[in-house]
Amino acid sequence: MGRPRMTRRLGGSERLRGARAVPISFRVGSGKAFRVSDESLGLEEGVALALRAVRQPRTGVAAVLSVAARAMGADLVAAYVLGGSADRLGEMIASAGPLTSELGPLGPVDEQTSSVLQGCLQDAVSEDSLFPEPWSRLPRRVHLVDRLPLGAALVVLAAGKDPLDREVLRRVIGPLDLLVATMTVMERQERLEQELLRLRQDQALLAAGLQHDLRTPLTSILGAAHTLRDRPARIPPEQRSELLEVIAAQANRLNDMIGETLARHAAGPDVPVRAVLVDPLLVARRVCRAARSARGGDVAIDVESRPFLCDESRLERALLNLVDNALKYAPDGTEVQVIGSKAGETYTFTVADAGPGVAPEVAAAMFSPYVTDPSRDDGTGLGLHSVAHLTEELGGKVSYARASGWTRFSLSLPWREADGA
Amino acid sequence: MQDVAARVGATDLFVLYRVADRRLVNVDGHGRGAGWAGNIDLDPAAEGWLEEVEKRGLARVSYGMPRRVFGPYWATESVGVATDDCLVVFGGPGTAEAPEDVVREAAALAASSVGEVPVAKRLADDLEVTQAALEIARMRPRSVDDAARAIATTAARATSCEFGAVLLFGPPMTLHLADEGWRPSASEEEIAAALLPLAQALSDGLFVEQDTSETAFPYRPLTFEDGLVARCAVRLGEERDMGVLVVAHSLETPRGFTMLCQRVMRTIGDTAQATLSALLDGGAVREGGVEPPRA
Repeated sequence: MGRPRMTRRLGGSERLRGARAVPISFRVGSGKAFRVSDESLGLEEGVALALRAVRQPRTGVAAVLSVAARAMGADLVAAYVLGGSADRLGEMIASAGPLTSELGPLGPVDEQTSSVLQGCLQDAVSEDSLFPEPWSRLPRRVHLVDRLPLGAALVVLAAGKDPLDREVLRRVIGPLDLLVATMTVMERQERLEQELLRLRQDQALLAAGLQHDLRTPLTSILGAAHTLRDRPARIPPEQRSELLEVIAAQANRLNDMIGETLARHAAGPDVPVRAVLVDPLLVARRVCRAARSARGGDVAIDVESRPFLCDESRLERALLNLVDNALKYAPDGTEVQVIGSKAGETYTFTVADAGPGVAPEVAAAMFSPYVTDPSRDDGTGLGLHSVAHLTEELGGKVSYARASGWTRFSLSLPWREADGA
Repeated sequence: MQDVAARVGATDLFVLYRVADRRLVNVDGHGRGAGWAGNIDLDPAAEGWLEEVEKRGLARVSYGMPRRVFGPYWATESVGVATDDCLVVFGGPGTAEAPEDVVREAAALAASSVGEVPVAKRLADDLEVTQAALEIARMRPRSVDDAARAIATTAARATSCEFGAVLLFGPPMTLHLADEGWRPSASEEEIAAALLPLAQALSDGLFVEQDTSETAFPYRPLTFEDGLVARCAVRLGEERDMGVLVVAHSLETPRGFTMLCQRVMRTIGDTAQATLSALLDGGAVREGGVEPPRA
């Protein structure tokens, strides 16, 4: 069956078929004549069409500007929104006219355009004002300002080679107002929906990440507890106290994490980073002890003791994830290395192991959530994501390198001394 | 050329001959490169990726989905090589992974065996343009509306586009969509409103956008997000501004407009405006059917 034929009169104004609108001539102060003609495309009809396309209000604005440009004989007409939720400098929301392609993309405007728009708002624009290209090439310009709700303003700017009738802009400003208001509401709703979706995803990710992060210290506690329970007679006193220390430290860390999560839940996702003076060597020792008690294996620590301001809990969690991973994938009989040093204003921890590294096909996305190595079936895809997230919160970055049979993950953190140090 | 393309595993091969400092012409090739021979004329400085090929000697792109590579050519993967006189571009799945020595050898072979665009190809192209004009001229529409719809359909078919539309300014303003092909899920008013700013941009009578993801007219429902990848518009009417004819490629077969397509559109525009003027001057009714073209 064929598609129904699509021919229908558009717009809402009622005109008699065959009736021709009469071109209207105006004379302005300069003495130059110009003409407003809606012979071929009626202003009213175009506006009616735009209002009926209200599901796409930005398109409607462009359509209104098009018929206005045509009616005025303008080479360029553009609508800008300033203030309210618009960008600091203002935003171009639609444009029309033969020179549109030269105007650049819609969105935030540059400083020069913004200054012209501010001039429009204060009614302080003259022919001498510094208009950017392509406006500057068009000697005749008119503008109209309309106040929008919530402190925003709509500025419509038109330019051409011949004198322009500002009255045309007056005739379309009402419909433009309506379309811009609709557009603002619709785009705000869309933004809120996206924000809500992002928050839900973040929440799910947070819950999954927390579950993952809780498991790591729990594994350490269980490992130490099992050793103490199963081999009490064979454990020398100094190892016994070391294991008890691991249990206490990891239990404290769990306590901190739970407290932090509750605070995050109460205050939203942006819990402030609590920077205290941290000795990286002590952190590395604590982390390595905890990781070894859970996984076993050997760790060599070569960390420079240069205390700096950092969120200790976040740093420990990030480093523990890396050391735990390294011990997990390091071949038997090989040693994991934890190296730390200060260079310039950065303190870098590097965790290196002789394991196979990350599969090349997932390397680019390894710090994204739920990305797992297809050759392994024991990962959740959250460990490295958690490391990247924690490091970002600390103002640093995490990187990965594979060279000479070694897999290296590095945490580069801003090195800040304690005040007055 | 087919054998050369096969060496790289390419479905398309373009030999872009450097006829001047800032001018590359597609003179031969395989797949789209053969079909479009003589119909791609480029300024390499305006083509980011080709400039990279020239600068680096060899460049690859892999987008994961069809995107514009140069001019009207869209592909998921491509590799380009600069030789003394030419830029040789291979396109199609896997080409971005082809070994460098294989690509360079194939490019040298393609560049060395290139000749002029055959006369028969040029004649066939001219015939395509004439046929499109003839199809419009032979129409015997009973009304402006039917003529406009037939023009939209013929233009879309002649340029192998999935979307065709004629917006007549009127009064009354009317939109006429091609009888077949792709159309956005939107009302006629929304489509017409999105066409209006485009109609204003026809300063030299023809407007071409090879990639709508980089447009000055991001007005829905005729945007890249809506599934429209490239478009070409022509003004209907010189002294009397009657309206605009627009054709577009959708994501179904992503590509742009060759010079031949643009010639076809200009010719259809010229012929269509004569047809529409005659109907308007003759006081044609706005309902009725189109008589089939005369045999």
